[in-house]
Amino acid sequence: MIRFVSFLLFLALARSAPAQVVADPLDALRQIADKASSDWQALAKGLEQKIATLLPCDPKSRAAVEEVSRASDARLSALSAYLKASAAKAKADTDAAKRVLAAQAALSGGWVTEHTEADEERAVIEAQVADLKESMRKRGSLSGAEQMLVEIANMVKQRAAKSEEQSGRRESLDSSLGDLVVAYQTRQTALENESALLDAETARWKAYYTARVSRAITECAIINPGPPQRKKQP
Amino acid sequence: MKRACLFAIVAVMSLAQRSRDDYRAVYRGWKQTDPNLERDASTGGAAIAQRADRMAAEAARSAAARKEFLEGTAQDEAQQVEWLENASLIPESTSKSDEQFIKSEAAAVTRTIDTFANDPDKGMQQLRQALAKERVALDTLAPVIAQRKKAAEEVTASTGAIEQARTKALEQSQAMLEGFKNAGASASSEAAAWAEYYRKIGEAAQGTATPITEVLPGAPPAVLNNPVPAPPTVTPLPLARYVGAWTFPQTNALYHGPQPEFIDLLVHEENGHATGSAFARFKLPPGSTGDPIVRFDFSGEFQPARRQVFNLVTAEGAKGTIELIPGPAFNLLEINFQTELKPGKIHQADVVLVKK
Repeated sequence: MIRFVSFLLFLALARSAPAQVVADPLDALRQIADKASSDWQALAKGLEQKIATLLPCDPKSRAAVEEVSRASDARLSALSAYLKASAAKAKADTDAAKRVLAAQAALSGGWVTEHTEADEERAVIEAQVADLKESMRKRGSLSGAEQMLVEIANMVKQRAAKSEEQSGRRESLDSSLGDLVVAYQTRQTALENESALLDAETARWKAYYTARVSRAITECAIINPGPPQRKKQP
Repeated sequence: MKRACLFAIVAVMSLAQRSRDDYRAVYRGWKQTDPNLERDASTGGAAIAQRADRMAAEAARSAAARKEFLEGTAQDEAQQVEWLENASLIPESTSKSDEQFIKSEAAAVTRTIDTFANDPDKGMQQLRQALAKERVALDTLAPVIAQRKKAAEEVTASTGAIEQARTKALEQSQAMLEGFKNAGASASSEAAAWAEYYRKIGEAAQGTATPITEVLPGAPPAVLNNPVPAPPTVTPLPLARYVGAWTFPQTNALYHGPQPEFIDLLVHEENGHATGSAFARFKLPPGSTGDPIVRFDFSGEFQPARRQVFNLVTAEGAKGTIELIPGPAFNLLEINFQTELKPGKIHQADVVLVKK
């Protein structure tokens, strides 16, 4: 039955694909689940009214109960498919967030390296400035180069300051991404839990509708001790 | 698809790491190419210009490697930002219809059971049993539905937490991306500055060496407020620019080579003939056992040139020369002396003195 419903879902998705090329498959599953749920609700709400006008052994009576039961199976299968897909996506999201956290840690760590490198470069340039000042004593025309070197030293100093500022943001960003990973993990666990609970719920709905069909058979048996007639399926 | 994107991120990350190593290797290569260029720049000439050109090429290579690395890093960060932008979730909605249905069905079944509660008819008892089974099934459904509802509410709550953390991380990640982009732009500015620096070194290497006391082109000449005709001399500048008592200033001192502690120089002139003496003490490197004292006498004829060169003899008998170079101001005189090498003795110095 579940395979059949999955196949129908696949067909429904395939049919809707050309119209919504970029649609999220999860959204499509959600729509299918919502529609199946609405269908069941409509049938379930109208069941008592529908069979109230029928004789207990009227084949339409049992067929109406079985129709609601099938609709219930269909909506639970559709919801299960949606929840399983959601849980799978949540797991993928959790894994992705973990990778993003790891990648970001490496990227943010780069700012610490940038800061260290800029400080080292500045030390080298300052030594060059000192050497150039010495040379300027014999060759005054080097003053232009010396000024430019001092300017470069300032640029590298600014670079070091900016790198330090960025590396200061590192912990905060890592913390936010850590929170994101935890939140995704919580969502994944909640969805997996919901999916498992739905499986248990499905078994109990089946038990309920089995009991409901059984009541219909009993109602007929009270009036007509013979086996209840059943409408042939076309 | 997203997984593929993440594998791509990981791949790009490792590329970026390689790129940092690559660019640092190029940077080290640049710095090791000619570490003495600045020290040797005073010698000037085509050799220095060529060395500056080579360094300019190495600097350009290093800048290109750094820019490539920073661009790669910015791309990596942009992918992080893109993922965070697209990771928003649609809030889940929980339905109450199942609970309502169970409640109303259970009530209806209970009512029917109650109706037939005391009916002794066998058929009615069978129906009551069927209804009781139905009631049990409904009763067992209710707690499972409540549990699933609770799990669904946890899903909804986690969506809020995800959104909060995602928005915060996105904002911070965008600031970091901006930082990498700015670093790339700064790298371009630095690259241009290095190119200009080496161009200036090459430019300065051309022509003869001009000491720091040389009046640079464009500098306004010194003008006396009460000019009197100077006596005719063989030198192009007044003799007063050479003769007199000169000393090493204790502040704003200018020198090349060993650092003097003090220098006293006396220069006399008589009929175009110069005589003079110098007494100096220099700072020696720590641990040095050399002699910090220098004494010498010098003499010679003044020449029709700006720079005057005279022979000298030190107190130890070493021979050498001293060059007197008038400074940009009337009270400044640069002296540049060299002597024969004597163990433990100062044999060369270049110092700007002020007139006493």
